[in-house]
This record gives sequence, C-alpha cells and structure tokens, in this order.
Amino acid sequence: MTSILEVNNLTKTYDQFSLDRLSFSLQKGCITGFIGVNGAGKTTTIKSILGLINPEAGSIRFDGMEMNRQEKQIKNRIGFVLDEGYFYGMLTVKEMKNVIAPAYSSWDEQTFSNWIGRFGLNPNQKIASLSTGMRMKFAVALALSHHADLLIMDEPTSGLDPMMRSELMAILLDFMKEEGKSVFFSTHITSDLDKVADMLILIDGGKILLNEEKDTLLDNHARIKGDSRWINERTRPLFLTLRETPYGFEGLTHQKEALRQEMPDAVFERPTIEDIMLAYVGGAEIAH
Amino acid sequence: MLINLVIKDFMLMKKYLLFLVLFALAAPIVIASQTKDDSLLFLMPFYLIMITEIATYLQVSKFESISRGAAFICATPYTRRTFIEAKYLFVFVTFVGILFAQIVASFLLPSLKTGLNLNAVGAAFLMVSLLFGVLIPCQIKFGFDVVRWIFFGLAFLIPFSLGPILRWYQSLGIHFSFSLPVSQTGQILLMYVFAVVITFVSMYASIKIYEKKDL
Repeated sequence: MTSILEVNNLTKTYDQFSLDRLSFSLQKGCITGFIGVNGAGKTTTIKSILGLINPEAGSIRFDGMEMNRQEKQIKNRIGFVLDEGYFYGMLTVKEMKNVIAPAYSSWDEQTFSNWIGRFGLNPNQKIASLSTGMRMKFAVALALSHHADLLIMDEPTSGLDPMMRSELMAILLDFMKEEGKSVFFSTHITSDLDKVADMLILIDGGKILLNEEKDTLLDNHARIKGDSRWINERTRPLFLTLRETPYGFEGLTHQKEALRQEMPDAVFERPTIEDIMLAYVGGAEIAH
Repeated sequence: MLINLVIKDFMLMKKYLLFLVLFALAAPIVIASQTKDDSLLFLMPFYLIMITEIATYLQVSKFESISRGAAFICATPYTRRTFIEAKYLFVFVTFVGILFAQIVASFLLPSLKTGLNLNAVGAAFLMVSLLFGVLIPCQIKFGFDVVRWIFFGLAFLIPFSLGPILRWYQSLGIHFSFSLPVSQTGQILLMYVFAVVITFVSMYASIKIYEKKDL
C-alpha cells in the first residue's frame, strides 16, 4: 500500500503543550482514525497539515509533493471539515459556497447541489442560524464537492446526535467506494471508528503512542476478567490496566498468550477501541 | 481567485453597503451645497475617501475578528498569501468605488469637479496608501482590537490637537520651501508611484507577518 500523506518530525511548542517530533503516514484507500483525549494534540496536528499552524520543524508530503512548495496543488486535492465550522456566520450557505468554490479547480456544482439536497440545507439560510449538525453537513458538502482524494476531519461527530453520527459514517463509507480515496478522521468518540476505521493512530501529550491496523490492534489486545486470586507478582505486569474488586478483577492486556497460560480459566473478551485508548493514555495510573 | 475574496468582504458588510453608497453619493452634494469655500471643495474627495475607507475597512475587520472564516479560507487553495492580497485589493476597489460615486455626484453638482483632478485624487491615493500601509500590517500583527483603539484615539486627538499644533508651528516662523527637479505633472505622477510602492511594500510585510501567525 502506498501512502497519501507523510508527516515527518512535526514539532510545535506552546507554553504548556508540544507536538514532539510527530511522524506518521496515511495509507491510500484507508480510513485512519486519529484518536486521543481532549488536548492530546489532534487539532494541532490537523491544523499543521492544513497550514493553519506553523510548526517549528518537520515536513508534510502529500502524494510525493512537498507542502511548502506545492501548497495550492495539494490543497486542491484535500477536503476538510473542521471542528467548529469556521464559517462566516453572517453569510448564507450559497454565499459561503460562492466564496469557496472558485478556490478549487475541480469544483463540481452538480455534486454540491446533490449534497445540499440530500442534507436538506436551504441555500439562502444564514450559516449562523444553522444547527451544529447542519453546519457539519454543510462543511461535508463543501469538502466532498471538489473530488478530493483525502478527506481530513477534525472531531466532526462531537456535538452530533447518534442518528447524525451514523449518517456521517455512512457518507464516509460511500466516499471510500471510489478508488484511491482516503480519510483522516480525528475523534475522542472512539465508537465512531469501530465500524469504519482501517487504521488507528493514538496520540497523547503530543506523542504518537500507537499506529496500527485497527483489526490487528483489537486482535492483539484482550479484556480479561477473573478471580482476584489469580493476580500475583508474575501476572500483574502483564496488564496494561487492572481493576481489582472483592468480586474479581478486570483488566486489559497486550500479552494475551502469556496470560492465557497463567490463568486459563479467565474470560478473554475482544476490547473496544476506547478500552485500548484509555489503557495507553492512563493505563499506568490505573494498573498500579 | 483574488476577486472572489474581495466580493466576500463586500458581502460581509452587505447590510451597510447601501448606506455607504448613498453616503458617498449624497455627502459631497450636501457639503458642497452648504459651502462656497473652494478649498473645502478641493479637500472633499480626500475627506470622503478617508472617512468611507476607514469605516468600510473597520466594519469588515470586525466581522473577520468575530468569525474564524479566515482560517477556513487559508486552509483552501486560496492560501494565506491570496487572503492578504485580497485585503489590499479590497481597499483599492473601495477607493475606486468612492471616487466613482463622487464623479457621479459631480454631474449633479458641477462645483464638485473642483476637487476631482489628478492632483487631489493622487493626494488622497497617497494618504490611503500610507494609512492602510501601516494599518493592515499592524492589524495582522496585533489584532483588530488594538488597531480599532488606535483609530479611536486618532479620531479623538486630531480635532483637539491639530489646531494648537498648527498655531505652535506657525509661531516658530519656520518656512520650508523646496522644489523638486521635476515638472508639476512629474510630481503628480510621483505621488501615484509612491502610493503604489508603499502599498506593495506594506503588502509584502503583511504577507510575511501573516505567514507566521497561527490561525
């Protein structure tokens, strides 16, 4: 598989937070989930990719092109949805579209009209009067109307009801039907990614903690339940997280086989993405 | 591409646009009909252009500051550079618009033609270039609020301080007089050239400042 976007040694320092030489790549034809708790560095990373933040060091390459040198060509092939809309609230849907559309050489008016119709958006409605969900839909319509190859979305599902979140996931899957398309999707609501993500990148404190295929990640980890008497000095270090109660224990491990041998009667379950994220982000504190 | 961002700026202030157009058309007629002073008529384009330019620019800047649309635009292929270039073009288009309104007004009141010559327009153009040549980079560097207070400060200070300063200057009895080794036409042309040079230098500075900003 070839990569569509490569981020190398991205560094950005703020007073109380920094992106620390972040490196990762996004594969063509994949939905990559970018997960992490609030303040982990997801938005800073995405804004850096979109050129809204100036990193102190690092490079961004898109399909072999250097962002610093071919910004216009690259941005022409990227669609984006930002967390708070970032629109001019006093403009109408149609006026905002009229501002944005000429920026893209491959803008497709018919596609935009189709999305607007599908989402039930009124072109003459002021953006300020749109609900959070409708504003997100408008952002999606703009992002998908110029035949982008990479769709970058920053927390698009936060503030949306389950119905709308599900609709958005369906849109992403539709988008991926076309060959060569990719999605980079940041969220702290990991359940959104359970159905759609192919790859997962976990960021915390400005550092990448995990970067793996979702299925491999879920296969390599397990949620284990059992009798507290089975927890001893040999088994305890095999857990990423461990919660003990008078009735038993529950924990998450990435050493399934070793634990299966140590406690063959324990219950092994497939974890959720959230289990894994929380284990790596706050695992040390929970386990000890 | 650039013109779309200029249109965007006019759309942001569409509620006030009609008022500004009417002001640019009616103000010279109203002022001229109440004065017989030719020097005032000569200053009319300069005065109206400055007032309307400042009001228009501050209004658009206010809308920019309360929304995050600039970041959205800069994330598209427009890029930061185009966004800044469009701000300067917006000021220029507004300048031309006000001038056009005054030409229209001068057909209704021919005495207004006194102020509509290359010299007066050139002086106004140079002043607009100087003012916005400083204002726009400052606004990008320090934000809208700082620039707004500078304007309010100037608006309050100038009427009170200009008279005393001029009287003090006259009391010194100093006379500067020098002549440039170019013809009158050449001097007028120089004003336009300076205005264009100032604009481009300022635009370059603004682009450099904006490149370093986190949006």
